[in-house]
Amino acid sequence: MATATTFGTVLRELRQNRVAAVGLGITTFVLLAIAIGPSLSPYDPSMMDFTAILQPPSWAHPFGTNSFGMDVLTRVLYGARNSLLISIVGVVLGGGLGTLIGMTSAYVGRWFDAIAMRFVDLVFSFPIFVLALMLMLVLGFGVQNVIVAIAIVYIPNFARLARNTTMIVKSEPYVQAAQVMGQSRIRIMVREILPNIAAPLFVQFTVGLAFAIIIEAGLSFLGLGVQPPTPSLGVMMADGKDYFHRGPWVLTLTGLALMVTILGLNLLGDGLRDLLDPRLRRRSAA
Amino acid sequence: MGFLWYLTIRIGGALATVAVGSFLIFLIMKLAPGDPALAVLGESATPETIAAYHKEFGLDEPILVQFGIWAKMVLQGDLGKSIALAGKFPIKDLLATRLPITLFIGMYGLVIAVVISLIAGTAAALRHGKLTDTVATSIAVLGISMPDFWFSYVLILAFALSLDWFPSYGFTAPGESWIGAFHSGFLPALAIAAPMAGVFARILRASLLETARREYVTAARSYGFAAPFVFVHYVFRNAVIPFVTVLGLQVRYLLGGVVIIERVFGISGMGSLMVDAAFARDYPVVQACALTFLVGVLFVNLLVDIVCALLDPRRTR
Amino acid sequence: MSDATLTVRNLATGFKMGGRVMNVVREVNLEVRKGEVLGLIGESGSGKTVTGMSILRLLPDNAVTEADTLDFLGTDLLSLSAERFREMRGTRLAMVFQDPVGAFNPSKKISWHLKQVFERAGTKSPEHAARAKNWRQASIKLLADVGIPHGANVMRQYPHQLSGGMLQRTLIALVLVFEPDLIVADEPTTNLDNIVERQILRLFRDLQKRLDCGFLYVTHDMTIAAMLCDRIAVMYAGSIVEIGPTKQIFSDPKHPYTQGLLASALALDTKTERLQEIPGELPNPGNLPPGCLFEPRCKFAKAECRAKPPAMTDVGGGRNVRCVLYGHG
Repeated sequence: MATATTFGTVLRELRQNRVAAVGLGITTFVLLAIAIGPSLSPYDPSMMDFTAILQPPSWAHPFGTNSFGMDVLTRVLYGARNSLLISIVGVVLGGGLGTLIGMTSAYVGRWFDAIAMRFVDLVFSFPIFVLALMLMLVLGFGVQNVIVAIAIVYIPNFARLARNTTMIVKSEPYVQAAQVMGQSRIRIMVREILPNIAAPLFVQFTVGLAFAIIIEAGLSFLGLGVQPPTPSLGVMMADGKDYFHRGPWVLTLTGLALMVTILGLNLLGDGLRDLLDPRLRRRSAA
Repeated sequence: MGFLWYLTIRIGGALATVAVGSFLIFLIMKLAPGDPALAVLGESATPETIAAYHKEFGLDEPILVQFGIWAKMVLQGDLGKSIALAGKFPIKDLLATRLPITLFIGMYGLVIAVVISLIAGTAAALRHGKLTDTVATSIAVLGISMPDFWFSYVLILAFALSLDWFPSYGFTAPGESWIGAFHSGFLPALAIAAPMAGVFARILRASLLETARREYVTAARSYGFAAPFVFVHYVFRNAVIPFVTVLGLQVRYLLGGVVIIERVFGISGMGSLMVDAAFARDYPVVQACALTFLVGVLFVNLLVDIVCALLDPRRTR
Repeated sequence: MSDATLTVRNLATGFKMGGRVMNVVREVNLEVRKGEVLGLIGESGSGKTVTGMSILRLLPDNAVTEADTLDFLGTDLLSLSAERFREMRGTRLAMVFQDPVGAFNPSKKISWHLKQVFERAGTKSPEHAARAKNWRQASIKLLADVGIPHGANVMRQYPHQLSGGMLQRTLIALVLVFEPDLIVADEPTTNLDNIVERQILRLFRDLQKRLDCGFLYVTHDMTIAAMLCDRIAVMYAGSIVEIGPTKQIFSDPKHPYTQGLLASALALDTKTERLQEIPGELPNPGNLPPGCLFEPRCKFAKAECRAKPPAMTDVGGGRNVRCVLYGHG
């Protein structure tokens, strides 16, 4: 009940906060574009047209065409769908597990906390692409493995955040009251703590999603992630780099679309952070 | 708590993380599919030769014993031999040529990022709420929203292909020519620096604004100190501590960026070595690279901790 | 009248919030005389701190201060440029802060603070300049004066290594460095325990006698005011409701709010800043009552209190009260 009203207020304030409003606008635009854009496009994403190979941007092909004469904009819309989906699943997976670990860590404490947080520190010591590269070697290249890699990258972020926020909420009177009333730990964690740490977790999700898209694109760009012919933004940019000198627009404009998506999410995350939780400091930026 | 005591604890912690981290790396590489014996001996391997290879390298021992063997080798300065990428070249020598290149590019990028962010972050905070602030924060958020490998190509398109100011591919090692290294390394360093500069500038701005609200800044003004003096000695001096902390946390992003950027610009550093090794399934090389990156991150974090401790008397004294 | 260090007439301070100015303090009239301590008393949120800070122009940039008169020993403080005002600080005007721990630069040693303030004070007069040259010895002597016998040791410390009481003593030493003509202190003992508080208050008394300056002491604590202040101005919701000599106010409080304040001060522990004795809350500065600001909480309230704000009335003996019970001015 309380969460519903705060969510309503947040939505109203969101439109008043300039940064958040721009972010919300861009994100909505991107989501709409990839949801209905492909059905509006006259082209098929895998339709080759050898009469129109490597055409520069024009009215017929706003993003130009690639080396097979495929319409780049149409492929960007489809590719962004895959990139976004992979990233969302990855962050949700990592975020869920991380939150579980973090809350348990704060709530159970002692040895579990000690071990979990040392593990978090350890994962934080690996460069992200180095970690992802090793994981890909074990798991093999492909969509599922990008998801797993993203999830593993994000478990520590969410674990640390969930732990620190749970520590704060844990000592609040309503949680103590629930404890005194003899409610089970799991019930307290789900009913009392989770709703109250949801705001910072959601901000982390938004900003995390933005960086997850970069991870997906990077891995696929290196040829370690999504494999062609499945379109994803990273795959298309990897393809575009092969004939970058003859058709720079393929890589450049695909990346631009990627950047706009990430920008929207970052602005939205910034705005939400200011609105939802002023106590949450910008420690975990990027 | 004395400074030396603080230092000892930090170094001990870093060493412990290296130990556990290297075990994690070892474990992950063990989980990777494929028998290293097959990779080394090739198609002609017979069950007997494979068994002999396993015995020779202790591959039939329990995992902890195997890790012990590897760790002992590493501690003696022997990182093993490449199995696929570079014949049977010792990995140590491979790293000796690659590591300096990555260090150079990484430091170059870091310095560019720090310089840009110091200027942009300070300007934004001093002109808080004004046009300068809006422009600087907008550019900063654009910076952190850019995949660095994409920005590399934008830079190549603009400054290499169109203007021809910098080479679009290849890198002159500092050993050959320092000028050549700075020149050919500029675009890659700038590409790595851009997202970091965005992150740093935002942190510095937030930290400066936060510090400017502290009571000691009002106190400083109450003594009639000149505004520049108050800014330098009270605001900036204290705001720089969280800035340096974030600098340390960003090293893992920096090195992550290096992995891709080196591929884009065809730089033979640690990053491209690791990617090539991954494609060639040259596990010992991947393992050695991962360990090097881990040690690199921890070393920089240690340095940052020390710098922070020197900057912030509350940490150690 | 001629011995006034600071004369404030009709001071109003507000904060710009989204295009409009929200007034927090209005119609403040007071006078701090040379060699006297004027206590500015009120609950938290009454505007007493804002009043003190706005006299020294130490409020954030969005603050707007206006006054008919803001005279400091013949200088019109309002007309001073920012740079000219800055020259007054650290030489003739001083501020003592509520939280001594927060008032020091955490990255610098105590000696650094002393050195900087000595150098700043050196611009005041040749004597001060001479003392600034020997700032180390002068510091040790000053620290001894404020009750820190081992000054050389303390100077080697960082602020976080010292107790709140030590830091407040040091802060007072810093003020002694430049010998100001006016000191504004904002609840400087709130964060200290009772014994240290007494010691610091005694120190303030000595300090003020030694400098023979004007001293504006902002506090919520009536017992402190009774010990330290020659005269008292009681603030409520941004206005002064009663002003006069301490003894008379304590023996015969006129304004109903002052009466409540005294009743509660005698009753309970002095660290709570809220008044339990008087029911109700401070009015919201954005939504003030049309008449007397205290009317909603006043047990003597009548119809004419709601009509228009009462004016200050001179009730004799150097006392002024803002209440219809004592005439209409």
